[in-house]
Amino acid sequence: MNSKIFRIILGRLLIAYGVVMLAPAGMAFYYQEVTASSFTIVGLLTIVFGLFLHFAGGTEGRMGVRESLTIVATSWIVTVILGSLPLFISGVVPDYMDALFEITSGLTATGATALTALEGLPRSILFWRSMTHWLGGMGIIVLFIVLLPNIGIGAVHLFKAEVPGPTNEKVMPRIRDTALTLWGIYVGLTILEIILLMIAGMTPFDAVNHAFSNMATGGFSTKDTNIGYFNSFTIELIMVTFMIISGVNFTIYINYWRKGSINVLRNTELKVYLFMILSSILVVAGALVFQGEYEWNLALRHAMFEVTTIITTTGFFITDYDTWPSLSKMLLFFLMFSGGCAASTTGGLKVGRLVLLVKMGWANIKQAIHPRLVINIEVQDKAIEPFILQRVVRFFFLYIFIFVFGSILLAATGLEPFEAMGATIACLGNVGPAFGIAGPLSTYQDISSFGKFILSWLMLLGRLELYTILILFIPEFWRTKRNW
Amino acid sequence: MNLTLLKAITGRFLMVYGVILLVPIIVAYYYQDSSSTILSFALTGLFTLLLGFFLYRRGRIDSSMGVREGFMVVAGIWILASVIGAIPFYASGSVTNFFDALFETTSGFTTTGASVISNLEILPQSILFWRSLTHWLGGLGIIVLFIILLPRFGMGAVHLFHTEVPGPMNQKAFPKIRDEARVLWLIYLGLTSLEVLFLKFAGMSLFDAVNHSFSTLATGGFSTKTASIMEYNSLAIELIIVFFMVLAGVNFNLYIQAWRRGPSNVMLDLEFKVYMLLLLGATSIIVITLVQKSGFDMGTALRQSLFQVVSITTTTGFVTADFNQWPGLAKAILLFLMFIGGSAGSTAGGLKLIRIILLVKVGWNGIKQSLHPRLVTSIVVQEKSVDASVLTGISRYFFLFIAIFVVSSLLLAATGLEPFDAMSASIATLGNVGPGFGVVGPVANYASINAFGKVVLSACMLLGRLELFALLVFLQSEFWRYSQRW
Repeated sequence: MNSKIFRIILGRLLIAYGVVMLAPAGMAFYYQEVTASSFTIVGLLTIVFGLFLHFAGGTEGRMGVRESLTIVATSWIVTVILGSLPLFISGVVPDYMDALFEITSGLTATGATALTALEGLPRSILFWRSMTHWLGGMGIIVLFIVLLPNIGIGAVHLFKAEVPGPTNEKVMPRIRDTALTLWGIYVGLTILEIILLMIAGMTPFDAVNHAFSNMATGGFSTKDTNIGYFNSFTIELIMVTFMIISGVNFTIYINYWRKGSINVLRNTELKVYLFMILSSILVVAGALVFQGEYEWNLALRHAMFEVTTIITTTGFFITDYDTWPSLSKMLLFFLMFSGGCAASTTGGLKVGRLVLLVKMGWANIKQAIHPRLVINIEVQDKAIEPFILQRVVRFFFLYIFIFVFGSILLAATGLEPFEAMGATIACLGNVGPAFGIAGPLSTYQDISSFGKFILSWLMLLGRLELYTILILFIPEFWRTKRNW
Repeated sequence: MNLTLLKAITGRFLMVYGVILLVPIIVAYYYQDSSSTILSFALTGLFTLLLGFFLYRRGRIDSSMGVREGFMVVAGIWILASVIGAIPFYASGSVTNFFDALFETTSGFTTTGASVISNLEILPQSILFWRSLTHWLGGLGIIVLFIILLPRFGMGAVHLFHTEVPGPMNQKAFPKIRDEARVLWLIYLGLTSLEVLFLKFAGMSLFDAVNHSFSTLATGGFSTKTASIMEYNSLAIELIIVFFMVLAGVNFNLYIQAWRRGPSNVMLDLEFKVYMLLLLGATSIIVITLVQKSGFDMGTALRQSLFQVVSITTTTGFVTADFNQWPGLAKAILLFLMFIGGSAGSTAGGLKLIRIILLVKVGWNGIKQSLHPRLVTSIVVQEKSVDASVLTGISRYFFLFIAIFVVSSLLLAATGLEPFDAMSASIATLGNVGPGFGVVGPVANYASINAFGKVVLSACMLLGRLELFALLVFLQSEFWRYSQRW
């Protein structure tokens, strides 16, 4: 294991992270909030720690699988721990587990909150929450499009994205280029949304926070009643649009930027994604009308928002969907598993995987009649290699298995089965609010510390697409110092 | 599509079935059931007999049976049996709605055990007997299907690594099949008789003993009492039933092996070991949570937990406690156990343990492979390597199972059931368990579900029982298109 590269990369990351932390620090000083010193101290400490690591490291040597995975896992865990310190030290969040939960939820762009009375909290805290969302979302995009595709982690390799992976000097400039393009798109869209939200009537503070949260498909808000607070169809429409945009495969955006054209119609995943959103809205709205005594206008408005926010695993809400008719709730529950497109900021299984799974299932049925038949799974006229298919089913099984395991653990903390399952998938899929005790208006505050601990791990697992964290459980990973 | 062969086989089946339909008449006569009841069995039986005879004469067993014929026969027989078997329920007045009768019979033959009848004690004895008989026959059919017939087509979970190479079915294969079937039939009959003896000894009436033994060995769950086994409040009876439920959930191939080579083989079987561990583990956890959260005393907790865990894992569905009142952890575990099911090659439903085991191994391999991307490992079970195509098949089956569960849950939620109730009803039928939670809970039944919901659930029962494919295949357009054999 090449510790030098590990140290320098982690070091650089921490320096940047510490600098970013000074932004809420500045805000705290400006508004004379109690968190001023906490942010400053933690921020400076992080910078110092980062500098130390940076100078202890070096760029020579290989960066292989082991290094990549270690860096990823470590940076996430370290940023979570450091990022939650200001909340705890300043006394705003007296329970450290709560602080950890909140920041994990922030960085993984989940949006599950254990904090109540948001409107009374210091602005620096609210800003930091949304900031973690935004950073986390950005990090994920870079991670899965730039750093990890070659290793086959993450769903990006499914459709043979053209972006390269890491390994040597010649490739580095291309990585940097791609990363910068991605950040550019991401920042650009964020700024656009901020402007639109302000035009729609939000204060600059709210607009910035919500745009950060939206682009990362996170879900944190500055209000307890979330987007319901604004009661504005315009704002909801803007957010729905950006949620859908954030749920699209970002490589499409890169390709558009580089080549100037996208054939949206050709991309199967995109088509299925949009179709799922539309049909789900209709079903949910229909149930609201026929079983929930809504009238069509309101039903469509609510359905549009809730369905989009859940499929894109954002987690904003405008109404307490926990009171909705069973079919609507059930559909929302299952949609949490789906997630958006691969290589977006969304969580979940990803539409791309679902598409392949369905095709595989159908092929299996056909093969039952023709046992000797060899069927190739094709997407957009290209055959998908068997090893990719293998990985997809494996991922699906592991995902469900972790879901089951997590639900059982949550149930052990005292939750009813459906609540436990809802909370589990809401965190594993990085959605945010769930049902019952973890419902939109209840927040996660009543869940025990142990429960929050489990849910935090689930958030990380889901965000890093399982393997990065699961690898930590293999003895081999820790065992040798040899190079792989 | 070899229609003459189909006619002959179906005809033969119907003739046998017609005779079977006449058996409850003996019970009806003995217990002096109403004449309308006797008549409904007599007429249905005779009609079926004649229909079968008619078909048989029109057909001919001339050539080998291909995959397509196999599917049609299996699915066709199951559906026919359910439809015809529903007539006595309806005609005798025991069930007022034909959809309900269909649900009940399907539940019987698929050994699910979900009932739409709210008061069993007022039913004629012959009807109660017929319910349990459908279980018993269904269970036998399952064993024959999944140990003998399907493996030859490379399907079902048993062939995964238990039996030998599958092959085409033809005349030469029949004698061997007949032998295997006979042994299985003897084991099944033997165990049933043993349980009848034990139950009688423990205090049950002969009638009840027979009915419950039929139900246990088939891992069905129908009882002659509305309150199920809770009614007897007897530890002895519960333990006997637990014992036989466990036996019924074991791969029957192992029994054949034990007969030939001694019982040590059984202990070595991986699936068997996991099966026992699962039962023990789940029981322990539920005991702990019952004691801690619900304030049960250790004895009661053990007694109820053991029974329910075994009943649900083997997908039997007998009830000795209102587990709907149990703590969330217990309910969650029971729910997930419904998915797992029992061993392959048994009468239990669900995904089957061996599939879960193999999937876990595949998953673990995947984790290791993310560390070593070029690593190629194979899955090995009991020193034999498992073929990659088998693993692929299992993974896809798993996905299809979940997909059907999701669709079914949504449809049931549309009929008005709360999410958890809807999900439990779906898996309780798809996994052929019986009782679910909430509205379809252990002390309730499926009567309150509307007609559409009952149809969906009946479909789930059939799909689960026939391991999805036999029925899903009918959805394929290619299936209907070709008229010649392949």
